[in-house]
Amino acid sequence: MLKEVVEFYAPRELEEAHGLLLKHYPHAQLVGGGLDLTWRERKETRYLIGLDRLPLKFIKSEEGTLEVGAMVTIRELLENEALENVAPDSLKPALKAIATPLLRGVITVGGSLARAYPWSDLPALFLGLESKIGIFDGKYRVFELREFYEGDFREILRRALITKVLIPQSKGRYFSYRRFTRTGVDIPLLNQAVSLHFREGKIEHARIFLGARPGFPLELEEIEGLLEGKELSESVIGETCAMLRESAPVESDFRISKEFRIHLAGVLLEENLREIKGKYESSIQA
Amino acid sequence: MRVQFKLNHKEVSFNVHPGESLFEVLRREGNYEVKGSNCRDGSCGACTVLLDGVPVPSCTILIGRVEGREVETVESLGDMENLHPLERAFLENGAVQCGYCIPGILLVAKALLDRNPNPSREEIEEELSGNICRCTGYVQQIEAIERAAELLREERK
Amino acid sequence: MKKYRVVGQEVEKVDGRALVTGQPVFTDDFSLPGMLYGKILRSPYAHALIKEINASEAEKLKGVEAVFTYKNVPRKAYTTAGQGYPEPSPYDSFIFDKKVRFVGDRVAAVFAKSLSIAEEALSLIKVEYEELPAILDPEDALKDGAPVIHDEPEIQGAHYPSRNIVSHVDLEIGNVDQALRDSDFVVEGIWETQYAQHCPMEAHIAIAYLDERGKLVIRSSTQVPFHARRILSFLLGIPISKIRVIKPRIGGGFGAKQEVLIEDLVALATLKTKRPARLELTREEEFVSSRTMHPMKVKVHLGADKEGMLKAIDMDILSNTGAYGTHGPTVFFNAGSKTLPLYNKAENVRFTGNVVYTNLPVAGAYRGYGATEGYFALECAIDELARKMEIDPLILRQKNHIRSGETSPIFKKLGEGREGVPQTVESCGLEECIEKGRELFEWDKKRSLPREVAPGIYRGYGMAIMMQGSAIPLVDMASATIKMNEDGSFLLLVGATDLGTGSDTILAQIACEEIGIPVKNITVYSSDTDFTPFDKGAYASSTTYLSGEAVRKAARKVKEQILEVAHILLGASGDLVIEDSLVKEVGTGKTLTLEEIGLRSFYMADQRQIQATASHVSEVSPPPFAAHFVEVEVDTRTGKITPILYVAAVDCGVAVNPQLTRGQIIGSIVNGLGFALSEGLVFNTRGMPLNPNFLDYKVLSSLDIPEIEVILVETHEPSGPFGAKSVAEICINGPLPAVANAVYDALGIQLKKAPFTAESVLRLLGKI
Repeated sequence: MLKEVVEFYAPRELEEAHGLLLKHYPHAQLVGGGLDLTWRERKETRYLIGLDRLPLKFIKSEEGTLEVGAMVTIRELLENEALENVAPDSLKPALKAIATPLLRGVITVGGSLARAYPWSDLPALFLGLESKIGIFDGKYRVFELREFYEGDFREILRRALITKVLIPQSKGRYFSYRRFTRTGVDIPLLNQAVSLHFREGKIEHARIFLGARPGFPLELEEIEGLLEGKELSESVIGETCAMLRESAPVESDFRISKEFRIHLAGVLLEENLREIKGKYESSIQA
Repeated sequence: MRVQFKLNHKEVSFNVHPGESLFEVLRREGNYEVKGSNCRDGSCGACTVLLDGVPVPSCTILIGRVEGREVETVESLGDMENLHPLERAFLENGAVQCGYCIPGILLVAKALLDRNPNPSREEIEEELSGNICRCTGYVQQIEAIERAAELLREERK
Repeated sequence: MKKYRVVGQEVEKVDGRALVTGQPVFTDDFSLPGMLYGKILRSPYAHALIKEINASEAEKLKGVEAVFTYKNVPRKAYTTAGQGYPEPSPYDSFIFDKKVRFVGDRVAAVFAKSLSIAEEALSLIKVEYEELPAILDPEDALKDGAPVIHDEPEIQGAHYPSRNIVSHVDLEIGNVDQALRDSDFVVEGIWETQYAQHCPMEAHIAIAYLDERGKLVIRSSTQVPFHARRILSFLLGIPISKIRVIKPRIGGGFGAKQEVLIEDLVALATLKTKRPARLELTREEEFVSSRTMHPMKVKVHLGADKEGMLKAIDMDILSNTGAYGTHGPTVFFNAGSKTLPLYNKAENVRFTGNVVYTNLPVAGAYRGYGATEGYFALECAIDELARKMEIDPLILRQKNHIRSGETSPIFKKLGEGREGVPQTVESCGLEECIEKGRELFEWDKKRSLPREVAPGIYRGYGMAIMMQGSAIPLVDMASATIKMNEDGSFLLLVGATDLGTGSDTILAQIACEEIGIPVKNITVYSSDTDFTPFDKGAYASSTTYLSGEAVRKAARKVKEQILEVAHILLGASGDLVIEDSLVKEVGTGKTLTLEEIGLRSFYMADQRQIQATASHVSEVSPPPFAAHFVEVEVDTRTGKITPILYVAAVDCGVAVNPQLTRGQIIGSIVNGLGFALSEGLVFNTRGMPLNPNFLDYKVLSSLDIPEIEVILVETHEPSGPFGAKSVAEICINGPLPAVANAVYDALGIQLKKAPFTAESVLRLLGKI
């Protein structure tokens, strides 16, 4: 039980919710799935602002963008057909591996992106998909997720709510996601999201994020630079993986060592690139 | 504060502390059919209930979120005289040892079969993976769910 | 084999309906008015003196009814080990001491009107610690100048506490060193196991209250209600007659609950406040402050001749029992007593070693009880020997394992912390287990296949054989009372403790088979120290074998009483039998219902209560046997080991309830696979566990299990009820060696440290 809590609000409007957050600052906390609150009790939290009644549960596909409301759970996202438009065959398995089937019914997209635990999958996943994030801080704003995370996002979110995530449905994008775990159900000990855009057989644009390093996801700009402008050939794959093994920005934790993480970074990249290569080659044949 | 919701198809209303979880409220109000491993982080699945038909660990659900919604515990399945086909299948297949994980697993199985009356073994293994059973090693439980799915499909004919 | 009517049949678990419908049958499904909630203050240090402890602020907090520290509880050295008296474990624990010996050790306890108040009160207890140097590695415990963990004057029963040694053994049969020198093939190695925790889904919990007589009643999730009663009596200075312990349904034990872990605290709270008192461990406390498996370093040295006959087995163990010595000596002895006799062809055997204290979590009883650690080493060493000899490891085992009619001097030499009992193995289906397992697994065919099945992906095939025991001979006692109601239904009262294992059910089956009635006509009550007769409790794989025989004896006496009355009523001259609740005279077709006998006996003539109590002590401990085969796949890019197929062929004598037997086998195998693949507590440099939760202590899920095939090989154990032995523990011993052997088969690397993490595989492959 969260002993210090004295009130649980259930606002129906975003302005109301935001107002409560400001009014009770810094003693208020937003409750999406609520998992973070049960995991980490904060002594200063006295007011809970439930988000269930806000209009944040929607999944809509418009003008080439998949918009997912912040209160959509991972389970709901998985059951939605529109996923196939974003990243056929790779987003679903990636989402399915997160946490446990039970927790997927509790974890919300907004909650996961807001808390962004070092081992979270959704930040790395959505960063890899070049997503944008919508927040409400009195006004509706949209940011590139990458820029949002580069800023002091935790500070912004003390006085703002995440409303949605916007994922571009890009025809030319090929996406792959991998994570390493100890057993079938686990937090990732390393994860990696790769998006490649091709033009005339060559990689025009690459986006690669490495997460659970054990820290927050980092963009692998050097690796992206190595891939851009090239064909995705066996030798390019080999070169890029070798480079990653030289330079992977990883550390040790009590779970696995830095050396193992470095090795895994290379393994995950190889798997991701091979998967994309396979998909790209079948699609140009078709 | 006061919270009102449907519990096993009946309207209930409780006086609660706003910082309580659904699990704490249910146990305090005598719903002993909801068990808990005291992991308090949703990682074991023993305290699973159905919230609007979705299986969730009740220890992770803050009680304020439950207002106006539907909660089902294992009591919504069967009772001592009339077992639900899932309960019968579990008993007949040796899928119950200490029984502590069972209410949670039965609800996960029910939600699965409601959504997908003919799941593959892989789908069952996947859906069960959030529930820990230290006694049985899962094999007989997976077999029981397959058996129950068969029984339920026959019932529907 | 003989077909029985009830034994050997698929009988529905007698508590099954209640469990599947979520009935309130567990300890915590129960609340009394005015109940107090307890919380324990835990040490943040691995080794420290409590210089000062001040609970006055906590006591003043509104809603706090009792606070206990070393200052206001009896000081008596005792053991928490739930074992028969006199316990073969050191008396080295106190309710609260002035010293703490591991991170998570008890410092104080609060009982308050709500859990929140109790938690708040904990934070008001002021403790001043003086940190002491800590021992975090068992090797360090033995070094000269090592800190002394147990320097209290009251300690009893530890071998050499000032050297941190709880138990020491130096046993030799024959001349091992000479035999090793004379051997044509020799292997040697050290195998290490980890800190594993039982993870019962129900944490330790106890509720105490005073009944209408003012008697202390303890409702507890315990495997040992009678030992709990005796130990509490000793500890608190209350006569046994004033204590009653009740065990309701338990949510798993696996040995963690073969302890008197928290009952003392709720008892103290109730005695002081006269109110009911409840204490439940959090999951973190369950991992850190309850009990664990014993991490062991097991050195095995084997010698064999050119014909493949073992000449010598040398086993030396360093066992880490943690901060207190509960079960330390007995688990250690068992690592030898349940493994060495398996290969009785070796005439020269040595078993040596030490059990030491460390400032780490307390190891206690864990399913397998030392045999798991012993078999990891022994069965891996056997495979290594086979490789050196270039013969099939299956054949090496076939040449050397014990057979029916044989014995081993180890049976006499190694018992429970002391000398054992000689015995001859009367039932051994191990040969058949090996053959049937080999066939179903396709051992020969699979081992002829190429190991690399895809680029970087390898398959490997490994096996292990094992035995365990059934009850502790001449030490364990079980008893049962059966009484008949006037309608021909029966009550079976047993002290025996059902942990969810189904013992209530199989004991009912045994009683019904003996009497001649269906299971629906008997009700089982178990584990209430006032109303059920004594049973040592659920451990050492004894319930089927020992409690079952007590039940059978009581049933036979009851049957005799029934037939006495029947003879008179029927005027029978011929033989009488009871079948399906009817007494029949053989040859004449005359019958009598049990109800007729019951009504007469209660009310009409020669009135008496048809009832009998019987006890049983066994002179032998007949081992169950098993042969396990596992197919694994190893991904050499990530190092991950995936078990694909696991075949277990098991001889448990006669399986009283095949479904429940299968459940025991599969459950223990999956737990063993967890030891092999992923389980283990991890500590920082200050002795603090870093993963006391399910997030990072990786128990296997439904996604991790291989295909598991169980073969029951039936034998008939003459000393067991209807030929039964036991099955509760044995199969947990298979996965560690079988998986390690399979990985060697796949890749040529020897995994000698559990768990076999992906990282450890890659390191052995030289990839990192």
